[in-house]
Amino acid sequence: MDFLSTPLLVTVILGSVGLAIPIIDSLRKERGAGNKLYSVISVGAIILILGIISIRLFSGEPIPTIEFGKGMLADDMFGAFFAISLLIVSVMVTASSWNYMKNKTNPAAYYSLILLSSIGMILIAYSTDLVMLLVAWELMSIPTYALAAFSKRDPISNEAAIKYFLFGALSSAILVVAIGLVYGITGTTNIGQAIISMVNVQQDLVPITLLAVALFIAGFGFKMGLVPFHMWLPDAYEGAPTPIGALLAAGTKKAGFAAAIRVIVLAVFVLHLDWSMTLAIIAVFTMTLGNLGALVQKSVPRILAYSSIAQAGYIMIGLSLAPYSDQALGGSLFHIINHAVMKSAAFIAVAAVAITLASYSIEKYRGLARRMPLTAIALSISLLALAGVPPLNGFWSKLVLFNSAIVTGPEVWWGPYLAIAGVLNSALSLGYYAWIMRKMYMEEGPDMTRVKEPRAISAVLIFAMIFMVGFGIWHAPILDFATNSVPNLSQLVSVLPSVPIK
Amino acid sequence: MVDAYFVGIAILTIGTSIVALESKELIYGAIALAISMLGIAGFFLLLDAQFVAMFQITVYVGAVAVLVIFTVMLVRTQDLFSTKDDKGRKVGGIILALVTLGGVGAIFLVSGITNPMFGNLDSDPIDIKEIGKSMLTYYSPALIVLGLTLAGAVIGALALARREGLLKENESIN
Amino acid sequence: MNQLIDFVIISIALFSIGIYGLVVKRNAIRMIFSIEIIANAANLNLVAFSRHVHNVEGQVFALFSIAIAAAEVAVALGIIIIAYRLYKQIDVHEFRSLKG
Repeated sequence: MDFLSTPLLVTVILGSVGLAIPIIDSLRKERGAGNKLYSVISVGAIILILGIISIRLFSGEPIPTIEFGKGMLADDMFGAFFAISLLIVSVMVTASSWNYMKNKTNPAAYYSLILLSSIGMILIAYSTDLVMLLVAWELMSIPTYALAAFSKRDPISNEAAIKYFLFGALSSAILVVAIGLVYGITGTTNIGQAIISMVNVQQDLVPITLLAVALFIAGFGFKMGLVPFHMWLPDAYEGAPTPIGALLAAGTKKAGFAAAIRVIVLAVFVLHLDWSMTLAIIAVFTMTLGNLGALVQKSVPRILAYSSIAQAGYIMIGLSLAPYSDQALGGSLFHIINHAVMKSAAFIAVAAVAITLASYSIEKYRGLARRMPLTAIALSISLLALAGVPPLNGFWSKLVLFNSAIVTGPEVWWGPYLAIAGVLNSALSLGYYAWIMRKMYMEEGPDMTRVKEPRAISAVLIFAMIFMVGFGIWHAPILDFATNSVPNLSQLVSVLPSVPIK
Repeated sequence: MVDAYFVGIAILTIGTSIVALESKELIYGAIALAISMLGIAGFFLLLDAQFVAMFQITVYVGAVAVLVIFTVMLVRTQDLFSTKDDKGRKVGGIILALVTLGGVGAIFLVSGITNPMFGNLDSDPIDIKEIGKSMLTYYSPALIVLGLTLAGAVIGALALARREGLLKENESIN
Repeated sequence: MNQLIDFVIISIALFSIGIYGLVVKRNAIRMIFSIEIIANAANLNLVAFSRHVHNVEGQVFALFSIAIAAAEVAVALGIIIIAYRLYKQIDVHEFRSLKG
């Protein structure tokens, strides 16, 4: 085992910092204080890891795109891409918690749980073994169950946490069943070996293979918020403390996509299952129901939660088209990193409003442009980016996704319709985004006095705005990074032995 | 064909898991759940997996079930658990369960694992030493991560269960 | 002698019972029971396959899965104790209706 490989470094550094924070807390005399100290420590640790991964990437050392090695963890570009996107989310969440956790209880446990959950998310993207995938999945989920219930005096938060836990535990139980089936057929839990043995599986075991893939879609679908499995999501994202809402919507959801690409997309491709249509139908339902649900909501976090269901639908376009188009998966990854920043910026702006004005209701957002100008502009930019308005980053990733749906060729006759559904949905989503912006800019509230905006959150929002506008104007570097991190599916086949070529 | 032990354990396990869900008093349900977990451990013994059976008894029966029973007794009050189930929902649930049983069962029955060649369980049992070896070699990263998971669960559960009377909270902003 | 399929059928039966419980019951603790039953069914499946495939990975995975289930339950009961302090009862009926 190579102790200097990136995933192990992440585990060791973030893990020891995450466990050190509660120990430091128990040694301090002042109980419950120290929020600022822990926030700084966690932000520092995450930035250190971000630096290590970036140095690895830029050092010119050749890194394989995707690896299915003999060990449990690969050190590849695919993992590095997800690690960077997810670490950006965690750094935004921990930094904004500087303000959010002020005067709240148990800051040490809060930051420690965020760090542990981040390790889990990153390891999901790096894992090449189903056992590792499941353990990392739980390391990601279990701390977030506790974090969702962190506002102990708030009944809504508690109810959301119970619902979130029940669906999360169900999804992990389904995953255990699915992994058990794969293991039973192939005799191994290593993803690469399992896929190779599945190709040569006896004809009469194929039904079990299909059942396993379906169970994987269900298990990962709960975290990704795909449509038949989305019912817990709005309550959980709304009820959780708002920065944790950002962590759930931007972090755990993306980790679900990482797992889905590692397992489902590769398995579907190598096994020549014609599931693209099914995944595309899921994609269309997911974005449509998400957007329709968002239209009737009154609370801003709830609107954002429904919009994140819709965004999962856009990302699914790339996953469903992966076997037919070279740029589809790249588009998905591009949209994943963009959505991670946009959605966490939106949730953190909502957290700023919740801290200063103590409300989530849309009515409180009237006249916000004058009361909290920076928050209002950051929220507007992230909403416009979510809708996919041209100069912003969200536009480019949607463009790549929809374009890949159009140019798939004659084999996928429904490709253009998928693109049309995506465009119509983006137009629909602009409806409720514009409604929030209208409340902030055009209407006047009863109280128009300027409020002091929380400082750490403002810094995070400025960073997010630079990211969204900057990579909107100059999108090439991130698009290149995304396409370089995508497994080249046709090469994957040539590597695997004795695959029947269609 | 199955032997008598198998039939006995199967009836015990399935019966107690139905009792766990349907008993009037929640505490009896918790005890039935513990017995059902013991039944699963019995199955593990039939499958020559003694170590997993031991682990199942210590962790599930010894820790999880006891924890559940304590929680049930802690939150117990007279009229809390007298909820009646919705009739329509109950019928729907039974239908869904039967569909799952039939559908998934059918998938397995038409597949190759009913073949006696495939379902051969007569080989020598696995050596427990092999489990230990693979835990410390191939599975060692997963073991580290599992340790972090358990630490996360402990930190989370402690943070949740702790009572704060001293600090002022203004958490409910809705 | 017992066949693999016998164990698998018991596992599917337990899985269906768990699904039934999740759909019908509205008491948070009962729903946790259902999830535990499903997790047990999954473990039984794993160990049975491990006996058939005849390598160690299935049993190791079952050990991991059992340990994880214990961790999950610890957090879940923490959440339920908070719910109890808030409501003095833990019936999902009393919660807001399932929107969305």
